[in-house]
Amino acid sequence: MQTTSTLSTAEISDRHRALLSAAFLGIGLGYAAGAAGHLVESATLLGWIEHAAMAIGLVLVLWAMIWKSRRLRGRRASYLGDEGFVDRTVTRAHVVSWVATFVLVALLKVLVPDDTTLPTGFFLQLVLAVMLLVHGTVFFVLNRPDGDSSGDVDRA
Amino acid sequence: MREVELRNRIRVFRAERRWSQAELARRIGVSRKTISTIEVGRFVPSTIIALLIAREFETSVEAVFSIDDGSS
Repeated sequence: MQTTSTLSTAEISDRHRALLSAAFLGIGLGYAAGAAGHLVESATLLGWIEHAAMAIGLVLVLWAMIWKSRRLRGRRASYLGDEGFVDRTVTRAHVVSWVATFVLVALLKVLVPDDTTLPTGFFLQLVLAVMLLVHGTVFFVLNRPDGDSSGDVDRA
Repeated sequence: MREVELRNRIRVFRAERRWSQAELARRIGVSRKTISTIEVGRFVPSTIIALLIAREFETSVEAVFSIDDGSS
C-alpha cells in the first residue's frame, strides 16, 4: 500500500485540490450562516457557526498550501496534473458554481422589487455562499469514491 | 448524432503484467483515481494520457481503446 511519504506528484495535486474544495465548503458555510444572520433577529448561534466555518476553511486553505509545498519539496508538480480526472472535476465544479451564481443574481434581480435595495453585506454573503457551496458540493459528488480501488487488489 | 462510448482494455493489460492501478498511474505520471475512472468509463482521457497508457503497455492506442457507437 502506498504511504503518504511516497505519494506521487499527481496524487499530491489531487489531494491538494480536494483540500481546497473542502475549504471552499467551509468558507461557503460561513458565508451562508452570515447571510442567514440577516434574516433572523437573534443570530448568536449563526454568528458562532459563521466564525467557526470561516476559521476551518482558512485553516484548510493554509494546510493545503503548506502540505503541498512540503510534499513537493525537491520535486516538480506533475505536468500531467492538469489532464487528470480530479482536475477535470474541479473545472466542472467551477462551471456549475458560476452558472448557479449567475442564475441566483438573475433571480434576485427579477424577484426583488425595483424600489427595494438588498443590504450589500447580505447580497455578497449570499452570492459567495452559493458559489462556494455549489463548487464544493459538485466537486465531492463527482469525485465520490465508487469502489474503484478494486484494481489495486486484483494484482493477479 | 449517435451516442459514442469509449471502451478500453486497461484492466486486461494490467492483469497480464500484474500491475495495480497505482503502479500504472505511477509509471504514467497521473493519479490512481485517473486510471480507475478511465477503466470504468467515467472519464475520457486526453490524447496524451491515452498515448502514454498505450506506450506503457507497448501496444497501439487502438489496442487499448476502442469506440462503441453501436454500429458494429
